[in-house]
Amino acid sequence: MRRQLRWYGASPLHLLALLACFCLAGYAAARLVSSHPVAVVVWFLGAVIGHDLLLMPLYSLADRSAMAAVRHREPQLPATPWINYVRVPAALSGLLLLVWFPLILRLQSPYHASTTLSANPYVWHWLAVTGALFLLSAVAFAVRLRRQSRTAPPPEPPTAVPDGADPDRETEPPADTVLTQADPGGGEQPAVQEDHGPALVAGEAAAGGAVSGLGQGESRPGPQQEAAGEDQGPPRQIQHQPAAQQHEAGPGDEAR
Amino acid sequence: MTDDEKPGTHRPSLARRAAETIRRHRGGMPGPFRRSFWRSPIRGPWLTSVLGLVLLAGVSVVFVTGLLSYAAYNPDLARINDTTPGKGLLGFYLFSWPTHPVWLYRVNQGLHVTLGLVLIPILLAKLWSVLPKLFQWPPLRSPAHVLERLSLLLLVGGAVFEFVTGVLNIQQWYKFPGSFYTLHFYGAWVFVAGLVVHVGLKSRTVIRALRSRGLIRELRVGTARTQPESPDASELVSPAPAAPTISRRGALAFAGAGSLLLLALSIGQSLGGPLRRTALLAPHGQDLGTGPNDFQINQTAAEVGVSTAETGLSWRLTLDHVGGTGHLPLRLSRAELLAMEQHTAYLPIACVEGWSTDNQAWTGVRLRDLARLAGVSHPASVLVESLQRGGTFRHGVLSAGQIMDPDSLLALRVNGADLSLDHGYPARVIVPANPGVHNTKWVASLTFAS
Repeated sequence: MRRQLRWYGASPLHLLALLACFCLAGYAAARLVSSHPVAVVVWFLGAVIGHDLLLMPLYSLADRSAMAAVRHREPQLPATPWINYVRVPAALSGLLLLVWFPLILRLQSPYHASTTLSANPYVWHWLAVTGALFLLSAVAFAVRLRRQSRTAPPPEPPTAVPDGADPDRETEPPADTVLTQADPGGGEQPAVQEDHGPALVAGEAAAGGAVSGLGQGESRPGPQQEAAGEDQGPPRQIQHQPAAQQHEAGPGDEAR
Repeated sequence: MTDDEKPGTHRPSLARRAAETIRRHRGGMPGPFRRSFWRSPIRGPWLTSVLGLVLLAGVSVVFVTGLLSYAAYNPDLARINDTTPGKGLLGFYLFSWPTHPVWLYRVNQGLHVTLGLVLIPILLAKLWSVLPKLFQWPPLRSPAHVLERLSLLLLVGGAVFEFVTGVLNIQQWYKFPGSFYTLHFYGAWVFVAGLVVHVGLKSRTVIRALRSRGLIRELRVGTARTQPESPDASELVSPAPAAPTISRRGALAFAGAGSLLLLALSIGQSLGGPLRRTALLAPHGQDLGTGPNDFQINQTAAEVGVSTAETGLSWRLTLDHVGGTGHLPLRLSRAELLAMEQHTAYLPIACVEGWSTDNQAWTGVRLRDLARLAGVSHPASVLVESLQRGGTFRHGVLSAGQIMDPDSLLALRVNGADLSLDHGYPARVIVPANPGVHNTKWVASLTFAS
């Protein structure tokens, strides 16, 4: 018994469950493929790889491209992480297109003849919903920027990028892409952490820079404050670096 | 879950030693086969388990409503009712479909289709969350591992296949190979076979993962404080996690927002009334007007070759009885039918594709009165045939229960007006809780069996 167990790699129950699964699936599959065997098998295998090897690489590429394209301009952008304000509306719009593309692209030829309904409005509905999603996202981002500028010190000014980590940052792959990563590059983590760490959550930023934040008053970061911001930049990074490492000293550290 | 590296296991097999060698060299593996390729800090058994549980609950409802949907056609009653006559043992659960509550089929199909749409973002998120497993290295570690990965092929392939065929069918984009019913019904069983074994094999992992971090506590964690899960046997947790750009809470909300969006833009086609127009992206989200015949249609007379020449004054309903006596068949004009006792029933039209209408006021002759006229006081079934030329549903068989229901009619009028040609003039069947395609339009004959 133990010997068979070792040979198989799991308990006999595991084997029995899987054999039962294959019996049922085989019974159904024989009927599934009975009319158009080749086409059905192609469709089924297409379903297996369609997401993992086609859709997912495509959306990951889009996500990384968006981050990479904007990364080059990052010094001009507010330090508030913006990616989700692009990612979410774009993904939701893409989801609607993925589900309703036959309607949106007017591919279904008998539609009007069958239903007496017009096939035309769907592309406009989709565009309108997409527009509304991006608009909502823009409003949400604006609200967040405003709230942040009230409670936190101003984001890093455009000129405040002289420290050594930044040239690296330009060339290394976007290590903070959640969706996929091509390169391990674990060593460069802290450099990226400092990009986003300080301002990820308005409340945290406020806690981190409470004193200076209060000192700044309510006004939004303007050019006249750049000098002050410049002064603040490096200390803020120093404040946050250890914080980030503290977090990672937990379970994350074992992963390395 | 398959490795049994227990003490006392001496002399590892050749395969295991080879696997070990490969594992030791996996640092040199290309691209996605290297574990450190996958860097999302939120991937891990907890997130996968939460998504998996939501998906399991939803898919169970979709599966059961799908089985009920098949039963609603009464496939056991007659060969022509059965869209998958080769079902064999897979029809083990079939029963005679009831006529009450009248909204039964409407709710069943609305739930099946709308919930199916709503689950798409959850399925995509779940597939994303387990993607590194596709590139496991070594890919095959033991016979158990080989079999389990084969079952995952059925699970993932079956799931995507079911969602794709369903989504294309409700948009009437019939590009799939063969009959939708065949593909969607048998495909569902392949998927469920993979699902049941997957749930069985993963249940302990899921329980362990969910206990590892509380849901409420996790939902309080923002992006900045998001930490990778502790590594375990699942191989989902990245060994080289990147800085988070989204929290687990954010990822769940992201998928949930996709579900809500799909729900908001399609539920109107099943709710009907003034809410229909809110279904901006759904095949039956447009209003047709406010007239008595202005409710949804899915097959026009022109499409199936029914012309006004056949439905005019010369039209006769042929009323027959299998093995009937001398006075049969009877041939009744529309005026003669209108002269019989009329009854009004308030019933919806509900389609297998998930859309439906509010209750319409149908007026016509009760089917049981027509059965009696054909000399059958205890009918077992009735074959309804249409004038339409083609189509799977140019004919259908109704059960005894459906004939005897007082609300089952051969309808001649709707909402106080004559039926329009596209709604089945001169006469159509309307039976409570019946699938739309079995409410046959342009009825040419009724043949009762006792």
